[in-house]
Amino acid sequence: MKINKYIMLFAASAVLLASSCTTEDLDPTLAQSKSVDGSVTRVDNLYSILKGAHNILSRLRILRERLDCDQ
Amino acid sequence: MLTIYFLGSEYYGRDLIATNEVRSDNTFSNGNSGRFTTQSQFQYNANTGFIWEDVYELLANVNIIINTDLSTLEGDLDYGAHIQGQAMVLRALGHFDLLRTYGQQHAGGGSLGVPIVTTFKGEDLFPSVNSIDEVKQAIYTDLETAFGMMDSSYDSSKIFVSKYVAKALEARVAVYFGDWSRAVSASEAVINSGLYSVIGADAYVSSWATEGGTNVMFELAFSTADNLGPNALSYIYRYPGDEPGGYGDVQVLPEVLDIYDAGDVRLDIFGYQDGGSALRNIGKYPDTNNGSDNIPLFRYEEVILNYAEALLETGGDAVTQMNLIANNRNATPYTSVTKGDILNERRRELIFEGFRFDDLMRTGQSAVAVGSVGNTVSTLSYPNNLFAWSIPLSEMNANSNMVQNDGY
Repeated sequence: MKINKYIMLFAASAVLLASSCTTEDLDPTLAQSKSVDGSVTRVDNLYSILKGAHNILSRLRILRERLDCDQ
Repeated sequence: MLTIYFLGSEYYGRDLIATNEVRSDNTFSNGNSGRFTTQSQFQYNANTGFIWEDVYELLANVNIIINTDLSTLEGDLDYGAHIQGQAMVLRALGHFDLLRTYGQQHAGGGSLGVPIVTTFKGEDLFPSVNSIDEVKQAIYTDLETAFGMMDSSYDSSKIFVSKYVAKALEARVAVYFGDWSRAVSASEAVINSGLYSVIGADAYVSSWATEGGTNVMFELAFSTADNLGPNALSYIYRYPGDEPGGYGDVQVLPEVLDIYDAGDVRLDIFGYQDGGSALRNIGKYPDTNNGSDNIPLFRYEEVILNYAEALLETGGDAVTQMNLIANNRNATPYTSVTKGDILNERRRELIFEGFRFDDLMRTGQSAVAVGSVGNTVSTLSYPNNLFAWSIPLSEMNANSNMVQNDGY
C-alpha cells in the first residue's frame, strides 16, 4: 500500500513535469507578427518612432532569461 | 518558472565601442569583472552575443518610418520628409555597423556581407545574405537619398541625426572602402556647411563632460536619470576611485603613450589607477558614477581626418587638414604627411571611441590577441576568419537562408 502511494506520487509528478515542458514555449514569437497598419496617422507618430530608434542605439538593454523547466 | 533579469549595455551604449577597442592595439581586457576578455583574445564563437539583434531591431523601427506614405499623414509633411531622411541615415548606419562587424571583407576572400532589410514586415521572413558590395551600395543610396530629403532648418538638437551626419557617415564608409573621391566630396559637404569646428586645445578635455560642443555632430543622450551605473561605458574604462573596485576591465597598453608629443593636450585624458600600475582612459566619458555623459558618434575632427586621408590618396593637400588637428592639440605641426601619419593621428584623436580596429582592418594590418596582464597571446595575420564576427546561433537556427561565416 505504501509502495503504491509512492508510485502514484511519482506518476503524478512525472505527468506534471511533462505537461509543464511542452514545446509550445519553444515556438518563436516574431516581433514582426505585429502590424503597424493604421497606427501611423500623423507626422508626430514618425517622430515618436524615431526617438525609439535612437534609444536602441543607446539603451540599457534588459535581457530576460525564462527557465520554464529544468534541462 | 524561474525568471532571471540581467543588464547589458549593447550597441553604442558600450559593447560596440569597447569591443573594437580591445581588439585593437590601444587596449586590452584585464578580466577584472570577466568582461571583454573573449573579445580581447579573439576567442568568440557563434554563442558570443553582440549587436546583431539590436541592429536588426533598429532597422525594423526605421523601416516603419521610411515606408510610410507621407501623403496619408496629418502635420508638417516637410518635417515628415526630414524625419524619413533621419531614419534613412540610421538605416545606413545600422547596415554599415553590421557589415564592418559580420562582413567577410577581412576574412580571407569571402564576399558575403549581411542581409539588407528595408521593410518592417516584408514577405520574406528568411532574408538571404547580400554581398559586401550590395550592402555598401545600399548604404550609399540611403545616404544620398537622405541628404536630399533633409532640411537642416529642422535640425535643432545634436542628440538626433542631422542633415550633415548623412555626409559624415558617407565619408566614413567611403574611407573604410577606399572610395576616395566620394570621401573627398562628402567631407567637403560637411566642412562647407560651416556648422562645425575643431575643438581647441584649452577646451579639449572639458569637452568630454560637455553636451553639444561645436565639434559634435551627433551624440547619444545619457543623463543621471538613466542610472547606468556599472553598465556604463565609463565604468568599463575605469574604477570609480583610484583603488581597485568596480569594473575597469579595459586597460590601456603602455606603449600607446609613446605616440603622443610631450605637450599634446590629449595626454590629459590618460591616467593611472590601482596605485599607478594600470593606465586607463580617465578623460573620455568621465562620469563613472552615473554614466551620464553623452557619447559622441560623429565628431568634426573625424571628418577632417577622413578628408585629410582622402586628399592624400587623391593627390590633394592633406597637410593643411592634418594641422587643423595638430595645432588644436598642442602637437607638432606637419610639414609633410604620409599614410602612416594619418593613421597615427587618427589613433591619437579617436582613441577609446572604437575606430582603431577598423583602421587596422581597412589597411590590411594584423591584430594581436592580448591576455589579461597585457601579454601577447597570439598574432592574427591579415586576413583572418576571426576578423568577421560569427553569425549568431539563434539567427542560424531561425533562418534557413543564413550562411555562417567561415571558421565558425
